[in-house]
Amino acid sequence: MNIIYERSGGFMGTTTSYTFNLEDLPHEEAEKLIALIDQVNFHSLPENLEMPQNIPDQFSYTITVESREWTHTIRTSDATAPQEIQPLVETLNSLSRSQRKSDA
Amino acid sequence: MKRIPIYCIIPPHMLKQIATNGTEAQKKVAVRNMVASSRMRGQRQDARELLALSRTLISDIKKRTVYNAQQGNSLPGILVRQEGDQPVQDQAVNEAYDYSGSTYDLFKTIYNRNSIDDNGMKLDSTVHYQKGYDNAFWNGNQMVYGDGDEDLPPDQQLFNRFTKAIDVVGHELTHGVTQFEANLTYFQQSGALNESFSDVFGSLVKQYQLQQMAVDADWIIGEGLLTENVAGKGIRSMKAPGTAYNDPILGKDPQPDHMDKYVNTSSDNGGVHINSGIPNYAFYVTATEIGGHSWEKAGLIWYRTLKDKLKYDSNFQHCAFLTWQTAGEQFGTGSLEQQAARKGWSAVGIDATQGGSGTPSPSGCLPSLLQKLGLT
Repeated sequence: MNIIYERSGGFMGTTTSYTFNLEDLPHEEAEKLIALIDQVNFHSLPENLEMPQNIPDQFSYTITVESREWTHTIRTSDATAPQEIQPLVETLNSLSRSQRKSDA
Repeated sequence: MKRIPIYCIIPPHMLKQIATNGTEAQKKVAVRNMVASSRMRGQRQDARELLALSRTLISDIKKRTVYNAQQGNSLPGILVRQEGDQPVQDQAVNEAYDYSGSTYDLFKTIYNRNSIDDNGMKLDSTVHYQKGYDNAFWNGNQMVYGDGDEDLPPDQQLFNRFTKAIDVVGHELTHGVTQFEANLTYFQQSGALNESFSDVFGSLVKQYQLQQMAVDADWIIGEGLLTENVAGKGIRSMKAPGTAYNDPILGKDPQPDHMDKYVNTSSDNGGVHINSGIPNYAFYVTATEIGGHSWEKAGLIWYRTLKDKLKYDSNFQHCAFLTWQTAGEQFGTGSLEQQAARKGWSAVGIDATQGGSGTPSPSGCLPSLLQKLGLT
């Protein structure tokens, strides 16, 4: 399974993008992500979870999950992300930020 | 997020009756509704007259409240400090409280504006939003602040808590001011103007706090937000867009300082944080040309333009023209101040004496509501 995580906007207005191959992650982290994706029935979430009018300085997120059976993308933001997907967004945020140093 | 009430459902004649005959509390609510309704219809003159009435009913005092989200997502969170309370141990709480007060003070003292909506709106802040949230934003009703990279080992931390910089607090609150005035659409050039006005008044809050002359200010937005692990002075530079940081991990500050370098992009709502460098530099040049304290003349020109003239879809050219026009009205045709405004925009490649685009605000309740919801 691959997860492509892109975060844009924010106070700085920068865009960061990471692709996580779950086979390359520590087992515990991979299991956590799979559980979060299953919990929210990710492949059946609406694609667009953003408001029509943009909120200043918030982050926007585009998350694509590629499994063996399906591929699905959602777009959401800080103010509009449903409560149930926020743990997934936070986990991906934490993972991507901890990757920053190792990519340098 | 709170539901936005549809003020225009109760007819004006009924609101006027309440404003005349109701109790003090009823009068305040009616006037507040009439102001909001006038704003939605783009009737700025009516809104101003009603605000003058509301000032006799609503006192000009700060109403600050700070909440703690405890690293969760739920807003506003737990109440931790209210107006008049003593400082607490939590620095983020005290910073949100103090700096929103500083922002209120600048707008009230210098521009006679009573809070974000010029009608005594309370100033709500939430700190400790999420874990590892390296950001701050205005959600239409309140400010929200993260703690930066507090969850990472010290050598991996790039950002401090976002309440640390007074201009960041001023920046977020000014998004609220813009929302109640020109309501610049957060996309492409109008969005970059929205961002720029927030940087301008965020910087002025800091300069006012420090009582700095324009020439002595650092003109850096977010100085203190970056940790010592980052090669950078801050998030943006109004004095030298594109030079705030150049770091192996964060990359290089992408801001242009001239229309020749305007960035066409689909990211960041059409580059609102990128191309804001252009009007930011125009303001810096204007303010330093005039000299003295930036908030007194340059800030006044920019405030009056935001409050009385800009439209939701104004572009850079339109803004340049309106600031030049406002400077002439305020200080005289051909005055030093008007020449400075022209020079500021000329420095970024815009002739401020030429009018720009900006369609008239829609009239009528339904078109205004649809515009406000971004459905037109």
